[in-house]
Amino acid sequence: MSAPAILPPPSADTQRNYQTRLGMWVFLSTELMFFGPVFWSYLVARQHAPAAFAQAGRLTNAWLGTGNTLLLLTSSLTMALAVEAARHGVRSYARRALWLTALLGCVFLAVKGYEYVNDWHENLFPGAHFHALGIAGQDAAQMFFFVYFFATGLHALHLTIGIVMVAVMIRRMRTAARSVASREVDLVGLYWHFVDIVWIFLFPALYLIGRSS
Amino acid sequence: MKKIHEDQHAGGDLRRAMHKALGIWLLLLVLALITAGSAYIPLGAGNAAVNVAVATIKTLLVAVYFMHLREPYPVPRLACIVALVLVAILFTLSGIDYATRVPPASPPPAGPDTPRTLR
Repeated sequence: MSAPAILPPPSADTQRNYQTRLGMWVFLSTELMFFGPVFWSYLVARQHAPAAFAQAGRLTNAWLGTGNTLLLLTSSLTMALAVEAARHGVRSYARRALWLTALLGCVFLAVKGYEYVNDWHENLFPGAHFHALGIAGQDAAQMFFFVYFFATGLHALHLTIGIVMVAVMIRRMRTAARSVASREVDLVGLYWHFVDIVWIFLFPALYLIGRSS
Repeated sequence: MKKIHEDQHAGGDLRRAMHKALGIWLLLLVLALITAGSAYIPLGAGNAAVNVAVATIKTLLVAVYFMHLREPYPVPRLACIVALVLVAILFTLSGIDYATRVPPASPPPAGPDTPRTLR
């Protein structure tokens, strides 16, 4: 009986990298269960009052929404570059890319905050003073803005956590061993890209609805 | 960048990876602009279809290239697929419930304290 060709066992580092990445994927799966129902509530409410939803959607700022989308996609690029640089051990480059990622995340939040302030002044925050100008179905419009604030607020919270993690990684890149730093940047990268994907779906759902009608 | 030149082999690999990331990023930007632009063309139900299709392509690009789902490890892919299947089951069951629920024969008396329901 000839012995089958056996590949050398993976190094302890490779195994650890694989395990931590898998752990992050399982965590992200639970995050999907968290965001999924938010999208579902949007779909049900939209199905219930499509016309009022389209009208309410037009009250969001499509320019700022599009700009923020491009910002977040760019932050995903800088994060991907940081991960690649860390994998190749080019720490100075990885740190610069992480700085840029955190900066883009902060600009995104600032733009979102500016939008929130405008929405508040236009009485679009759900509550006793809610009033969407020129919309017949005020209840449905309020439902749209309830979903809008909840979904974008939840996304902003996740992004804030992401920025804190990136900031921690910028510090860690100085001190941690190369393999550890690379593994950790990898994990933060997975989380960051997930938050980006959530926005990829929120953007058309909240900002582009009703633009052509 | 100076350090990149210190190790030519690693540097070449890194440069290739970075060029690929830049390519994916450009694709993502173009797709985002396509979604934003198409929203202003009256397509009826087609608008939503374009939005969902483009968002799905963008997600695949981010997941496969930026989140390294292409790497030769099947279990993270499996975790991802299981999560998607579970969400699909959740949506299907809720959808069947929503679509088949019959409104009450006589609506409850409306009053200022009656909570509004969707259906």
